[in-house]
Amino acid sequence: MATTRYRSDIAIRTLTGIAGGYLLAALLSVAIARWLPLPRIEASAAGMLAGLLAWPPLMMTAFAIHSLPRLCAGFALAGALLAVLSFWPV
Amino acid sequence: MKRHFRPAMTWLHDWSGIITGWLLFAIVLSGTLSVFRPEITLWMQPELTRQTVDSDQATEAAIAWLSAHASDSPSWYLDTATPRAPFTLAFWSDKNGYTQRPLDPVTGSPDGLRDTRGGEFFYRFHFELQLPYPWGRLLAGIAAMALLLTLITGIIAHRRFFADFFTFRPGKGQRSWLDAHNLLGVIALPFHLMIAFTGAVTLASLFFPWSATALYKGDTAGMQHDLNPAAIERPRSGTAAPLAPFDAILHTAQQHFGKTGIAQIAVVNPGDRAAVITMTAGNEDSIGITSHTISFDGPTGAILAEHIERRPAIMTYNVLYGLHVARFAPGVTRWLYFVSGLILTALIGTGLRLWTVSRARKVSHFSTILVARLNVGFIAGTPAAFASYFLVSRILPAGLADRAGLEIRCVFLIWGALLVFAALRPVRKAWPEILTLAAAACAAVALFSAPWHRAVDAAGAIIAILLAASFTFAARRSSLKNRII
Repeated sequence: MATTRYRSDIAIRTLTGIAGGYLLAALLSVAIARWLPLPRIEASAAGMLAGLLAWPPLMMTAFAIHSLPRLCAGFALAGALLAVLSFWPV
Repeated sequence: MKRHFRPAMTWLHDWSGIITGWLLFAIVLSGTLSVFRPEITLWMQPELTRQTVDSDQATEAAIAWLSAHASDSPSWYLDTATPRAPFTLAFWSDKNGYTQRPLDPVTGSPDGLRDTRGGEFFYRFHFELQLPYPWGRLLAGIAAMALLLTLITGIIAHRRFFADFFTFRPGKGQRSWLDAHNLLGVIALPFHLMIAFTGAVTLASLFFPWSATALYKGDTAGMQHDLNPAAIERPRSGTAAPLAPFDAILHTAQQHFGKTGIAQIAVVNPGDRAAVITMTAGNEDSIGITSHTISFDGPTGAILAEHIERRPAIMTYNVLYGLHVARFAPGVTRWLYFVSGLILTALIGTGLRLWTVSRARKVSHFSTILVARLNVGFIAGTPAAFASYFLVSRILPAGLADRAGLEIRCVFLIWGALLVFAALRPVRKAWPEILTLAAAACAAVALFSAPWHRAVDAAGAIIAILLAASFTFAARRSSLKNRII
């Protein structure tokens, strides 16, 4: 039935946008804070603001990309990349 | 993908709007009222009739009173008297926990001033929603992010962005509501985007703490020190020592701050040898908050540390924060904030209304009825409940025990009652009824401002009359024929 499929599609996108988007934004804020050559407090503030700016566009991306598998793959890839940048021992 | 982009964003706009709309309506309306936070406090304190106040003398009086009556409090926080707020607003702890009261500018005492939260109620509700920490703030932060998302997707959904700016077709049902919604959105769009983003910034450390967590690894004290190097933290020594003469400390601070003056004073460990007095400069020549801070040793009055903010990222954060709270704003700018806030409130209201208008044919659907009823309860009920706060504040006897708490309980009782009324009453009757009630409450606020001697009473009465007229108009329109829902 089309509606079941439609509903699961919406549910996955909502989850990807809110939870996945938040996770990516949080990782981005950490990655930026860790790699910016600034004093700790400056880098923390810059990272926090970047995360804040990133979340709404990520939420929109979750609904803009038509193909669901490509969307999930894209988020996973970006997440993996940012996780490496965030947790790479320096 | 292009073919799907705009419909997808329109869908997102509609849904994020309807899910967060009612909460945002209350947040934005209370925030708009918070623009006049000190003025509302003054309106609710009819005993404060003094026009001009010497800020430093008021501070000295406040410190003398607190030293005598609140020496057990671990700290005192003061917002100094200003021409807008001719009283010291103090925050200290007594046997019932923390309390916040205006202090008389001459005696330094809260006695003789009625116990009311004044404008602080709207300000606190705006981001704490009367919920325990951190839940209210988290919810408000998420609501701010949702508002930003809804605004951006709304811009994308809006096809004829500039052409529609000159389009308003009244009396045409759904078309008119959409025209009004578009117009309200475009007319103050820079404000809407700014206030949504900076609102999220003020609460960002709560839901994006991860960059600081990663760099400081739990060293909160170190982070606090880096954030403001002039904020000295030291534990109580246990040895008593009186504070150094305050007039000299104030004089030193005034010399360092120049014409911006002293805005906030924190006294930590008062009466102890480890007492620290921290003063923050005013906002008159900078948009950003906490641009200049000085700490003094309590018993000696010697300067412990001074910090002028020049670091780019922290300054960016402070400026974004400052843009939201608008302490820098001179009179005209403050009125622009107020009017733009009302426009944003109306933008959210018309958006919520469009949901039901565009689904008028599905009038029997449970979800449409639910949305319609919540719309009446929130869009008409919230202004009515907020206006009742002013009335309750004037009606309750001045000497009543726990008066401030009672005022706020009354607001929520009235608000709750209106929501229940809207849930039970047929929608097309509830609209004009609650809107008429809101109009009557606003008209009563204008009357209760009598004898209109003080500027806040006169200005309050004028705003209240304008709002009463708007609600009367809305009530009449909503009782017209051929309305289905």
